[in-house]
Amino acid sequence: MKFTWKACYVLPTVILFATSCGQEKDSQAQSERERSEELALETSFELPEQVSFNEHIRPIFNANCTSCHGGVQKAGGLSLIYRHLALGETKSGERAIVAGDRASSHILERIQSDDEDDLMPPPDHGPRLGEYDVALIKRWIDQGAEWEVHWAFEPPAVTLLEEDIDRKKKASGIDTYIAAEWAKRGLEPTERASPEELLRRMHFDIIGLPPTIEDLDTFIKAYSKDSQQAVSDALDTLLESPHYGERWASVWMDLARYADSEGLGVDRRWTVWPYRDWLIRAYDSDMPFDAFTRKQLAGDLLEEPQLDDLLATTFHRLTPSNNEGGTDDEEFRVTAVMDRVSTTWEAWQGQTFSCVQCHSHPYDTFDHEEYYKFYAFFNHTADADKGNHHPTLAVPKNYTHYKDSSALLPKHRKTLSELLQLGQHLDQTAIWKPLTDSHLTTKGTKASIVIKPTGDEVQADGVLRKRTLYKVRWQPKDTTIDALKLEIFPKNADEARVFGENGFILGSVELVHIKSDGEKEVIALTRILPDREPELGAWDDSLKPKNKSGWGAYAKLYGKRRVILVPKESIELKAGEELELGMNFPQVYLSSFALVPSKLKLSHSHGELWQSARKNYDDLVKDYHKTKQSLAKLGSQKVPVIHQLPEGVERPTAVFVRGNWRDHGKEITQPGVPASLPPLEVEGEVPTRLDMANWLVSGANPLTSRVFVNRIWQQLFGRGIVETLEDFGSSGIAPTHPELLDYLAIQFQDTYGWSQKKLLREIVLSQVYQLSATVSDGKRALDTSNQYYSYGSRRRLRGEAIRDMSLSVSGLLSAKKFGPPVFPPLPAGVWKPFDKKDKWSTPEPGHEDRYRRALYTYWKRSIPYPSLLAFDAPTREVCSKRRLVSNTPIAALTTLNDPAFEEFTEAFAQRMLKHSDREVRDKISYGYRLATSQTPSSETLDDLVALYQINHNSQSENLAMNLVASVILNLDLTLTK
Amino acid sequence: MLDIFQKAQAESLQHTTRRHFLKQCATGLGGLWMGLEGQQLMGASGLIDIDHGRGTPFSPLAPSYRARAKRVIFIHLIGAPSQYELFAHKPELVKYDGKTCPDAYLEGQRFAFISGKPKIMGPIYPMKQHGESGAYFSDRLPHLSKHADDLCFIHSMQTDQFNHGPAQLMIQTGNANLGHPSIGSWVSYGLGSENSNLPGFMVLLSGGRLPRVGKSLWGSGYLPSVYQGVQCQSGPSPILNVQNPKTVSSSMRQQALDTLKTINQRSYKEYGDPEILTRIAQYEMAFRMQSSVPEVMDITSEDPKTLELYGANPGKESLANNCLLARKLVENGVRFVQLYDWGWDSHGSSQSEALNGGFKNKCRQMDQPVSALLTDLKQRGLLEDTLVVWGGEFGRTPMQENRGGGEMAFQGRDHNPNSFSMWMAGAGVKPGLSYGETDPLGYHVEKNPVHVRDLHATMVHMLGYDHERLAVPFQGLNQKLTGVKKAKVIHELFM
Repeated sequence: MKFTWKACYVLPTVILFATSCGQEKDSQAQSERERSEELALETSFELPEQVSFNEHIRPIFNANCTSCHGGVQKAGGLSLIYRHLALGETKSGERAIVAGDRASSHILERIQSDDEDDLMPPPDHGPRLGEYDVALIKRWIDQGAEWEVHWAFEPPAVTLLEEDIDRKKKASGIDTYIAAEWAKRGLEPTERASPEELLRRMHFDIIGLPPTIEDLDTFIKAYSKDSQQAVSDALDTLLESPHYGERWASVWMDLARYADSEGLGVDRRWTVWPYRDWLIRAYDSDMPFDAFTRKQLAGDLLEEPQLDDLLATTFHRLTPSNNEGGTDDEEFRVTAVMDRVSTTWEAWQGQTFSCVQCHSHPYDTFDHEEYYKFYAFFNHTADADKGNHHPTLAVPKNYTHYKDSSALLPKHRKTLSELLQLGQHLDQTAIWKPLTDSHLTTKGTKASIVIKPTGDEVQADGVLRKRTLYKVRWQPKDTTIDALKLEIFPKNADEARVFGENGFILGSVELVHIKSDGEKEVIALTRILPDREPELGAWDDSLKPKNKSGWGAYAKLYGKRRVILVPKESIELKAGEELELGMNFPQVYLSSFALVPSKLKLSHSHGELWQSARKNYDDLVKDYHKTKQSLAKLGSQKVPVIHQLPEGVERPTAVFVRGNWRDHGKEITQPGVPASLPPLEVEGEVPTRLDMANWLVSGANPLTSRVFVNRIWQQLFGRGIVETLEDFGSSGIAPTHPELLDYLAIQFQDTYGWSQKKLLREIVLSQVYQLSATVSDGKRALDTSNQYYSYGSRRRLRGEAIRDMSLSVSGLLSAKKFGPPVFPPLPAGVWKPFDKKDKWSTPEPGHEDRYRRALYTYWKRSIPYPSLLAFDAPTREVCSKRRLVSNTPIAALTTLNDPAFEEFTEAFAQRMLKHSDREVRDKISYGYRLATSQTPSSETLDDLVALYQINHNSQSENLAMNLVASVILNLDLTLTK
Repeated sequence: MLDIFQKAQAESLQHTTRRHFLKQCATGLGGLWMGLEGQQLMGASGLIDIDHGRGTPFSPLAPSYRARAKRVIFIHLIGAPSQYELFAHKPELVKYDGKTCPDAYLEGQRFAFISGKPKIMGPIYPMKQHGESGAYFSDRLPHLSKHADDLCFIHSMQTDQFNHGPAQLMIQTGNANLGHPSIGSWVSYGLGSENSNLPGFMVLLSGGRLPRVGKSLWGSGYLPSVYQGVQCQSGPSPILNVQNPKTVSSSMRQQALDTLKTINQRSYKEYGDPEILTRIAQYEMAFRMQSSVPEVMDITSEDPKTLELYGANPGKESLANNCLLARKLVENGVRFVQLYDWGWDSHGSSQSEALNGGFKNKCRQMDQPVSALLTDLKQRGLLEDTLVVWGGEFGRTPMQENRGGGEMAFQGRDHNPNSFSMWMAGAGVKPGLSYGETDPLGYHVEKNPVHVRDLHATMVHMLGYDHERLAVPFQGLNQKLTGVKKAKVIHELFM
């Protein structure tokens, strides 16, 4: 057998030791010292034969140098991130590192200097480099100062030979890697776990619920016949359990920053739970992770997307939204886009990419501009932190209607696009005559007519005021009018293109024919052809009198907009007769911004083409309303989704100087991925979000699969192979078992075709997963934090599992899946939402929605459910990669006294009391087994029975049993898997 | 006499390494720490080594150097009170009252609500000098003005944010985005609690609804969740779930916890998992908290004179009660007490949100209790090492708000991130000092600007830590309260 174990993962201890040595003062002359030092080193340390940049040199640079000579600061013109910069000429004209030439490598002088002014790192920045480190750097320079790609950026590779994996002895390749590390460290694994321990572990790991007594009995029996077969069968049952998806969805929801409220500002409720249900279904059906990725990141860009695909994009609409009065939507749109960039990098790539928003990465090979290239993938979506969460998708409340909806949606989109095309066609082909000699009256905003060679313009004077009415009166030169066109312009086109200007909503219009005798006749405008589908209200809302929604720029105007208004019939005018068009702009946005245009222009048209246009329009609008009604009948609700901006209105992307969104630097012409990772394959002309999603799961991406399997490993073993789940970069903690990580990554993406269930299957069937957690002190001391997995890991249940377990044990658990969030009992005094309309209404005892699994609980960001928070659930404002497990008195008080747990305790006590008609001892033993999956020892049972008896003397049977139930529910064994 | 279990526990605690707490509780944050037991050494990363020991996350720690402040009471006036109607004396503002604001003054400024050309608005309430220091107070503060020579004003505060949510986060967590630890979390993480039966960081709200950002204002971000602020409320259960269910008496609970402990000890013997010992200790602390918290939170037992001093009214939710509670909490060793008062957002859009309306009530509700808190801390000798900080999330404009370009029903001012006033007292800050200057209208800072991050650096310094080094490595950065931009300690504020 031939192993090539890497030494770097044990090196830090050596470095620490060496660092303290290096602090000793040495007064000898430098050359002499160097010689003796090197001699000493030869004997005291064994320098590696071949120095590796990744294993030996980069850690030294990162710990001591890169904060000044890195991606952010390049002090003296030196950066140690890229080889060409490290070996290049510095500002002083010297070279810090010259490959193969110690004497010319200036760095060696500086890190060994006795002059405090010269020494690097400077004494006030950090300790002097240890002699071992210096020796390593020297040898590295001698050997050519070769650079290496950071380990996580290299594609995963299985370094063991196939025959090394003794498949006969081991159930899984996993054990080969684990056992090799044991052998190397002289560790002996513990025994295999008892069937009870194992089944409990599997149940919580796979479905997040405890085994029932029946599950236990069946398993123990089967286990005694053929243990491995029993495990395999039980595992298959669990993987197919209807509760599988719920358990795993709740893990992804942390990454997706899933919450039922919008966050920042007002934290109103929003409807995103259909996405949560999408997740549960995706997990239940074991959707391959590549499809799972594509749908969430770019479901809208898939060919003929189904409702499900569009719904999946809600993933990136879960960024907090700010609807506080007076907030600038553009600011929070930009914040949301940045969040999408960070979240994508954290969830799929385990990289701290957000560092790069202000400057190049301090240690990793990402530069500032690359951040904005990636940002550009997300910058062309239609959402803009709007109060109504536009764009939304009408999702039927009832899943059985998804299919009908999926069928209707393309039809609806087609009609819409034909309507838009009709408008565009008429705009371009009809002859439009601008207004001249027009007159203006206004209410609200003051404005005036500005005469331009291209026709009259209405321009607001000064402040825009709410509830504005502009009335324009003119004498058309034509005697027939078939259509009017209204164009709205930004005040400052360049500025608007980047930051957006104050928007507008055309609430209603009124056209009056003023006859020569002064008589006024209202002319019905019955058709409207906007340039884009309205974001507020339906297609033709602006035609309704006294209306407040309809066509407009909600709530920002980025460029010129246009709408065509068509009367029922051609308008025939006699000489000298006038028309007057009233335009109402009734909306105020976030109690601050009057949605009123500051510059507009009217023109009119007549001609043959309007006759067919009218018919064409009427047919299309009929279709539009018909499909819309059919969709409405499906009982839909609006769910925020990602939607691409229409072609031609894309937003420009620029580098934000120092991350300041108002300070635009270099323009980014095309989206792209960082150069240090494999290149992006582009399907069309311009790289799209879909290309980016494909790139993540292309198989060539070195990070995606590793990050994924590491997360699964962490869920099952309590720690990741890379402990810093959130950081696979060079500042994260290196993997304890790099080959195992690569092996699993390759298995997952290649062998298993991104199937999580298959991956889980291999892990659970491994020897290491099935080890007992009972471990002697001596053994524990050899592997204190169990990073070599020499014993089974005991872990406290996740917050969600604590509620679910208690519900299950007490017999209250509702098996109902899916649907709107629920409101289980909450301690008094918690619910004081800023948004007073947000009510917490708990169903009566006995109602199934009182006893649903934790993931269905209404998740309000500003007031997270306290019993979940007490057990380390994040507030889900940003992507949370890892829950830090705490052990606090607040958690203890929760399971002892929280009203929901009080109810669990009482129901659990009743369940015990009602169990058979045998004696109390049996009842308690039954309850103990329900909660802990174990049979109590006689001592333990004595203690519990004694507690019951003492209290039964003075209290009722119920109260005495409540006390016992509370003890059992609070046992370490109960809270742990 | 130690029983077998206690011996086992003691042994286990001894042989767990000093980094154990962080390994277990913060999973990995501790990975980069180094240093020796009982000392604060600089690690390779230059960070301060914070080690509370396993299972005792609030063990008191000695700061890096002599601390002026041992504890903090931070009074945040949610909504941002107007400096012009309280402490900022701007005679020019009177002169220009009612005049249209010059264009040059508005150039490049962003507002939440002001649009077009607003008018300058003079101070609504008369101001005069008080005490030997001659600090200015408006006539809305008859009590607090008596403490003129106790307060240390910063009139040159600045922030980056002009919307409430982000600005409140900025003041509380040093970052306008969500997900960062609050200052109280940093302090209780760095220093622990002086009372093992009470959390290190407690939060009191004067009723009404939650601040708009909610729990994130006192969240622990990427620090272990144990350092998040514990929110208190009035009533029999001052912190969540501290009260037993009605049917469970204290003695029953005691019996039950004894049984729980016995069985958990048995599990420890079987598995040897040190986490079980921690759990046992947490249940013991929970039980102690069940009596210690209601006791310290009970103000009915206070001397009627004290109640009168504060204007406190037991059973009600009020800033007055909370000021009194804050004194009791710091007296009992809580490290950081955060008070939130609400209703200071005086735009002039309604009676309650107007300088000539609701603001008067807010002043009445704040003036006496805050003043009483200072008096009380002083008379108990606590002010010497307790830092009291008072302020909002930003300031207000010298212009009158003209929402939507129109006239407002009441008098009010818009949000102003460019300058605002805060004050500190106690813990060796220079009493009677007025630091920093603004332009004649008080809109921008002209001299000695103090950014929110400078305030944080200064507060952390007063507590005995270097803000650059009270940091944790997370996501590739040494994350700290003051963020990535340079922050400075304002030494001029110290005696």
